[in-house]
Amino acid sequence: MPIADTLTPKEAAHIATNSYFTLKDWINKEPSAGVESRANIQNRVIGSGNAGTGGHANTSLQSTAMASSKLGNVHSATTGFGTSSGFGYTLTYQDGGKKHVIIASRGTRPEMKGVPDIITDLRAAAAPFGSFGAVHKGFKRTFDSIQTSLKKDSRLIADADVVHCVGHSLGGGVATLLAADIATSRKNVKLYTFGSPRVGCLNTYSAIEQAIGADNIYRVSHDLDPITLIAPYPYIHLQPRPSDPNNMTMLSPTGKLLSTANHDMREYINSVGLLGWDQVRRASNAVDHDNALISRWLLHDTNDAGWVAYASAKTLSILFKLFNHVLKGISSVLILGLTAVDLLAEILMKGLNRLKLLGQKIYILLKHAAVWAGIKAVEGSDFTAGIIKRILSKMLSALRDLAVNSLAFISRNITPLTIGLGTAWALSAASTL
Amino acid sequence: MIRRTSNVIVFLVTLIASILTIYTANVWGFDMFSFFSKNKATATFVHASVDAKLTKLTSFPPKNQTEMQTPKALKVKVQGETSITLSKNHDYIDTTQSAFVCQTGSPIALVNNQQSARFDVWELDSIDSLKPLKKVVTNALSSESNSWINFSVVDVACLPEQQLLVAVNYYDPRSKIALYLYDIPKKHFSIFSEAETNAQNLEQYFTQKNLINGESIIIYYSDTKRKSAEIYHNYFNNIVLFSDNHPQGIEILKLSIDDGNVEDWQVKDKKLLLHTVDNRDHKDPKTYYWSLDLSKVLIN
Repeated sequence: MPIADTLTPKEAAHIATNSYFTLKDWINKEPSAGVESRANIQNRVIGSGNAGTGGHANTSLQSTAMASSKLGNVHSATTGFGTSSGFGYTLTYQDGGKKHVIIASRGTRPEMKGVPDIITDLRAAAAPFGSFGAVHKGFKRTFDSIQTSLKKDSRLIADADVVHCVGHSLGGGVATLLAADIATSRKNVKLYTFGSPRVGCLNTYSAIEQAIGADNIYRVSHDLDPITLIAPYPYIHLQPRPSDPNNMTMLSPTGKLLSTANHDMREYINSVGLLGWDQVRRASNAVDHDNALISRWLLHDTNDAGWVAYASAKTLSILFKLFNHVLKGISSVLILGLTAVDLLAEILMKGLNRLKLLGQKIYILLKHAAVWAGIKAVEGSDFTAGIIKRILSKMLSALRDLAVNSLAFISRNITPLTIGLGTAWALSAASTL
Repeated sequence: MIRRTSNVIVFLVTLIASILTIYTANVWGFDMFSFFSKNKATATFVHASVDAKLTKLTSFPPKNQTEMQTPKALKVKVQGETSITLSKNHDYIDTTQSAFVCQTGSPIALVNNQQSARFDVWELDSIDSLKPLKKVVTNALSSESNSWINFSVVDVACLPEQQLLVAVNYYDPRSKIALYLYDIPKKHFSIFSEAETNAQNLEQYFTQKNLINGESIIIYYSDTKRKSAEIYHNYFNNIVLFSDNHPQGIEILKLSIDDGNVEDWQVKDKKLLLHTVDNRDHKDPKTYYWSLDLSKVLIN
């Protein structure tokens, strides 16, 4: 099947996966700074797909309609404190008289010495991104660093009829910025992300959507992939609403709280690789889009995180749902795509004075939350921002642990701190708004 | 000023808490992959009727030049939805636009229908014309299949006794693979086994070899395990014989990863010969060669 104007889910997922092979020695499962040899990248991207000894599945495009595509430049980017490494590639393809350019970006690899990718993920402070608004600083820096490499493709991009930006995890964040940037030149751009963290602050998502076009954004995630839950509010995903047609949140393969597999590209291939986009949308409708992710984890009886009793969890589940309904009434920004943690941050933002107008119900709920968080009973009128912050802090702490475990660290000596700093930033930011 | 100081304090406290939590977790020695060190009892199993042992060889015997190359079902391209046409196409065919044709008796096609998110069985005029004659009414794949979001056929093996082995990808609502036996005369599907893709080749659901006397041997994959980020293997390779004596198939060998995943295989002089690799330790992958005498279960 020709790729027409849009990559199939399988093509996009294979590209997001095989872009990792630009990282030196990832094929042997021992990634290091630097760029893999072009011959090996060629093998893994559009060749027989079996170079290396690392035991990676074959995700070459040879088994797709893109077998005749041509590998262009291999890109390097800087992560951490100036560590340069292979970060992706450009691929060209012609179909129906149209020139297609694909820009692939790889995700985080925490196994690298000095954990430069992790340091990049840690930079969760906001940085300005053109006229779009504020975005994740770490992703923005990586986006900036890839520009030198990408300049070699400026002619290809300018001449292309369609530019496809593809990435997983951190690569999804960078692909989002690349797509937005290229879209400013009125180019037909399509964006495909898998397990992407949130990139833009507050309404930045809306500006990026407008530039690219909502129909051109294919955001695939697993509902229990903790990386997709960071950075917390006020960062917001593209296509954030459950009703957004290209918010393709699929059921996670394991359904387990601490399963790192939920973030693997291999599992994303399994979830979408045999479907068309319409079918992926249909499958994503099976997901409960309610803001009860954490409570789902808590209620998972074979996967008790050990920090709350079942009864408390059940209360919390109801609490999250009610928060959602209550906040619909007071929110001026879009909240439907946010998690329970986000919702509490939203309360902080809007101020307790407005909250008081909502009557006793919300106070009863907060009381339950306070008990869950280990705070001694307080009466409705005694609730302060400080108490809500403590509840929020506990929830963020839980979320942080999940996300930390979701990053695939092989060696115990490598401990990703991703969410710790992000959470700290989010807390301090939320309290100022 | 007070607000700024408060922000800094909140930031620092959370940061310290984060670091303490993470390092405490390290002290606890939490290891998400610890199930691999538990030496799960999952040994290789040879079916009793084979009445032979799996024997280690020192090398993989040269392949028999006359070994039958086994074509699987013909994969063709589907166009249209209510009125369909099938065409042979040497280019890549996406699963959503594919059908699988077998000629065991009268030719039939298993046709994926993107619109209905299901697949249908069609009788064909001939294997050459690929002209669909009529849709076949079959039983449901499962009592649950009405609630599946999507199910499509992803590969088919033509078997003896007018049977097909059909690899189905279904969403219940998670994506899964199952193998079904389809009895052509009875127009009946029955579940053969839940399965997985080949961990190293995500396009492969099974491999098949047809023997000269009409028997067929299939290798499929099960119990996929995650070793680390993006690294998976099949805990078992399941090797099944279909013959006139065993139309429903018997699992002659269930090969554990401890004895390797199958890289290459052949049947020679009534012996199943395997070249396997256990690459769980990528720095020290282990290669094995095996022989299993099948003379007790093969006809003649």
